[in-house]
Amino acid sequence: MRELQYIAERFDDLIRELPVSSYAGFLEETKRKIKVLADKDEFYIDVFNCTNASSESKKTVKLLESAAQNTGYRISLKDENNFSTRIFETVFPSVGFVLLDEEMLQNDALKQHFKKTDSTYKVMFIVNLLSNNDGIRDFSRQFSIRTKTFTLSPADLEGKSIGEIIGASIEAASVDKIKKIAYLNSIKPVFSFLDDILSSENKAANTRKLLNTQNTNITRKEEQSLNNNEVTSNLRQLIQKSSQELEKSYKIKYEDLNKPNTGQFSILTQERCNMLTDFERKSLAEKSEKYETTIAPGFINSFVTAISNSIQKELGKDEAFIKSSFEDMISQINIQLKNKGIQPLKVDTIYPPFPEKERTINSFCYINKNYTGELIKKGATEYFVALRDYTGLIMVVGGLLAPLSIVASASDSGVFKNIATWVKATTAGISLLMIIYGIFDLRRRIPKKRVEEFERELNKAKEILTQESKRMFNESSRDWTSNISNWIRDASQNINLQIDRNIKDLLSQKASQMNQEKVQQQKQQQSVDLLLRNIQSAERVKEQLNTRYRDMVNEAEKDLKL
Amino acid sequence: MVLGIDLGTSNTVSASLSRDGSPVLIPDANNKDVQITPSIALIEGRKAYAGNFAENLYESLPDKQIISYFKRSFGTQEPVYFDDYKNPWFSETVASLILRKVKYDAELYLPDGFRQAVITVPAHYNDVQRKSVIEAARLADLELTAIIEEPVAAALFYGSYNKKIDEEIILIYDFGGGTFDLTLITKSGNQLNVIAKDGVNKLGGKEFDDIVHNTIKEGYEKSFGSYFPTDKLTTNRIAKIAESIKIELNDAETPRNVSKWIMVGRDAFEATFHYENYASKANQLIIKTEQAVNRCLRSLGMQFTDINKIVLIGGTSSSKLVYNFWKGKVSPKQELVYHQPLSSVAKGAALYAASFSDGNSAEIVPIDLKSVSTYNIGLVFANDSKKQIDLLIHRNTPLPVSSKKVYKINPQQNDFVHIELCQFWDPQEDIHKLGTIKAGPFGLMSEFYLEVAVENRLNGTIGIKLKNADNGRDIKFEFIRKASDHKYDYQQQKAMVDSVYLNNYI
Repeated sequence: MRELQYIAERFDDLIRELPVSSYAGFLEETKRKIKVLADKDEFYIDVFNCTNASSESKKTVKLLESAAQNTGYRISLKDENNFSTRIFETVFPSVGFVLLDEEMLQNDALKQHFKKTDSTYKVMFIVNLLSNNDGIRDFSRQFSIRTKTFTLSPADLEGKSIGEIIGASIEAASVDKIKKIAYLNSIKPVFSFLDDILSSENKAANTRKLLNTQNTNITRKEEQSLNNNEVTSNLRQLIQKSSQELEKSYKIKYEDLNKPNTGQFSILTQERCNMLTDFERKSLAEKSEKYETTIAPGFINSFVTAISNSIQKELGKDEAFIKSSFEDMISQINIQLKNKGIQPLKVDTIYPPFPEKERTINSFCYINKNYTGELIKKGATEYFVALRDYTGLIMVVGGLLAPLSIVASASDSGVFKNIATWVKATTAGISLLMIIYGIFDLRRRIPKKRVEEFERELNKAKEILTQESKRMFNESSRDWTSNISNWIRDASQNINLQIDRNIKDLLSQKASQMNQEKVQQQKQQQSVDLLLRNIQSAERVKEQLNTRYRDMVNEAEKDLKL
Repeated sequence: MVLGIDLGTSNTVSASLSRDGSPVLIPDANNKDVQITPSIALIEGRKAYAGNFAENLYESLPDKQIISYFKRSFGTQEPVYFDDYKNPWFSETVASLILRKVKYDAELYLPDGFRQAVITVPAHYNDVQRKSVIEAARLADLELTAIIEEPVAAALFYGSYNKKIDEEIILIYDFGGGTFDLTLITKSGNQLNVIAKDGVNKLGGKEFDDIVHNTIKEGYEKSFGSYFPTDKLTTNRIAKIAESIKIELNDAETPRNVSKWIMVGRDAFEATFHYENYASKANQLIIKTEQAVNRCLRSLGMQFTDINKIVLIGGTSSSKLVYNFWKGKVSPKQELVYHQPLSSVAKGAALYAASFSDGNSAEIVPIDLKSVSTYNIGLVFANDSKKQIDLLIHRNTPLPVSSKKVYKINPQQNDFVHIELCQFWDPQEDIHKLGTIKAGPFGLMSEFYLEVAVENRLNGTIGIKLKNADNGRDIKFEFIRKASDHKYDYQQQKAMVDSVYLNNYI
């Protein structure tokens, strides 16, 4: 029906007004279907019979089908299973044939369908296949008053084409009009679709408009929340506090390790020094009675190695602990950053190279002041040396014996001779006693003195080792804690820098996002306003289509004689 | 001022009291003509839309699912929706969006704000479901004064303007969008006595919608010979169409078929809804409610004729189909009351909320509410091979009520004790397992008697206490709700609700 082409063309205008509607595809398809309908020209007729219809009824169907062949009429069969199904794109016939047999008379569903007040059928031919005419009157009464019914007998159909059958009851001019009405009825649902679509689009657009106004307020609120000074200050405090605590904890740790008597380092020093039990001895040319004593290089090496190892062990623990403390701190910071939508910290750029343990150890773990001592050689020289202790006594005794020897060498006369004899005997006795005592005393005193001297030298050596060990521990600790402090300060500084950079990045990103959002909101506002205007235009197009459609229907129904 | 909220399956209504003590509905903040908030939500990134906003916007957001009927998932611990970031949204969380929207409306409408807030719950809700409603209020930052059962709230409203109902037996028939409840009450002065309760789970307007929905689906498949599409946009659209056709069929003055052109995807077809077919299926649903009424009356040894009045409330009750069904059942001596079925619950809740106020207004009278337990409450001792239910509290017992059960425990045999708490109407049919009480380990203790005390409070929730019966000392325990793949975490859900802009409110 060519007149529908106008509706299809105007549909394009409507689609243009609603390009992004969620119904765009549907509207496009509807336009296509209207065009399909517009291109058709056949006269469509529905023929109702039941699935269990009588053989008479089935025969009549065949008769009607052959009557419609090559005539421009199209027959579609309807029964209780398919009568209610109508798809938009098919022609809704305004003429129908009801093959009334006993089965049809009993079929409530089809009878209900014929009662429909909004039925599109203008004319209904009831072909009476009943054995009597009792039921036909009641049956024809149930049709809507808008439907004209004609009763036919099977004989009325014999040997006639559909056109002739219809023409026998309806004027030729009205047949054309009925056909037109069928096509117009077929596109009638379009107006109900348009009502639903435009109402839904209108509601959505108005809601969007309302939400858009509030969106601006949301953006403003988010802009205010961009100020991250509080976060920065909180994080700085957290970093400073954690760093200070960490530094302090290391100072305390090394102070504890170096504490006299109880510190781990002091205990180790004590243990290692106690392991010194002997010296290395070397004869001296200028002091033939003595050895020069030194600590064996092997012992010193093992002593220094033990201290180095001990320091290294502690320093090694520090690296792992400090890094894990920093990781804890970083994860705390990252939680706060994440909560504020700020990029979390990247660990790889935070840590400066960790101080080298070996450097500290190598710098301070060596013997600065070595021990050197002397010990008297064992044997006769010990006695000579020991006699030195008796020098005074010998002098006294010698001094005492000298006058006595004078007296003893006095003349043999008189009293002097007796005295000389007594002195000689006494002197000999005293000398003998002294020699015996001297020998006895030397034999007793020399080993004791030897031990005492050795112990003294040993203690001296230990004292030197202790001092050296303390120096090594103290200087290494001092150097290490200073290195750690520097490392912590550098790492903290890196964290602060990265936080500042991330916040700065976020601020610039957010600022640009906000700007984009503002622009977007303005666009959205314009888009919603445009959409609302378009909907209004679409409404106008719809109204024009509706008016045109009503005119077409009125035109078709005008002078329709049934 | 006070706020009463009827948090319904399909629609939510809120009410307050005017200065003269009359209940008034609170309108939508953006449209004063709209007094009902559809209980639906839509989540789009960091924005959420609740109520009419969601209804108006679903067409513009075709890939978004409308979250509806979430009230039916209360107490299930199963998410009802996953957002764009794969976060699970539980029924409580979605309900909190609706409550926030209603709260926002109320704050705009009531210049002095509100002090007391009451939310209604279906009478047949079990303990877990009631606690879900309380949780939803907590997520919405809504400080609750109390919860009250929907039929009781409706009875309060009905009683407030009808003083001649003292000593009468009234059946409150609450057929809503998703639930059916019935409550038998009597009123004596300011005292409202609930004498029995019953209901049917998951029976409401949605089942009526489904009848229409199935007809649409069948019509489509018959017309086009292909499966009905299941995309979100079509599902949302058809749900709305099915609801509107249901209303048309339900409210038809005279029975008539309804034909409607339906757009599905790019196609359209005409579906015809035969009134008789629809009415026959709908009546089967209404008969289920009649069976519940009879069961309830039987449990009290009463007959239908003993009822003086039947008050119809709820969205589905407002249909002519339901009204005509009961009209045909009542005798001339009985009265079928059909008065403000959609708003009476919210108004009753507002009246109840007012009864907690300091009594400045002479119009507001304190309400003495006497209710009864909805369910039988029992325990199942896990070590009992027979899994026998130890009944502690009988249904329809006046509230509050508490009861105890003592079990002999041998810690040498089992480190932990597991006792299941359940609610039920009939132990042979529908048993609601509320969760498991887990106590222990008891270490080196010797054999002792464990006393489990269960209290059914006035608001219908359940409290549990465990103690050593030998020495009277309390025993700590853990209450494990139904296991789910997605654990409900209040902090996470609260953060989610707080982070979204609801209806773009600031």
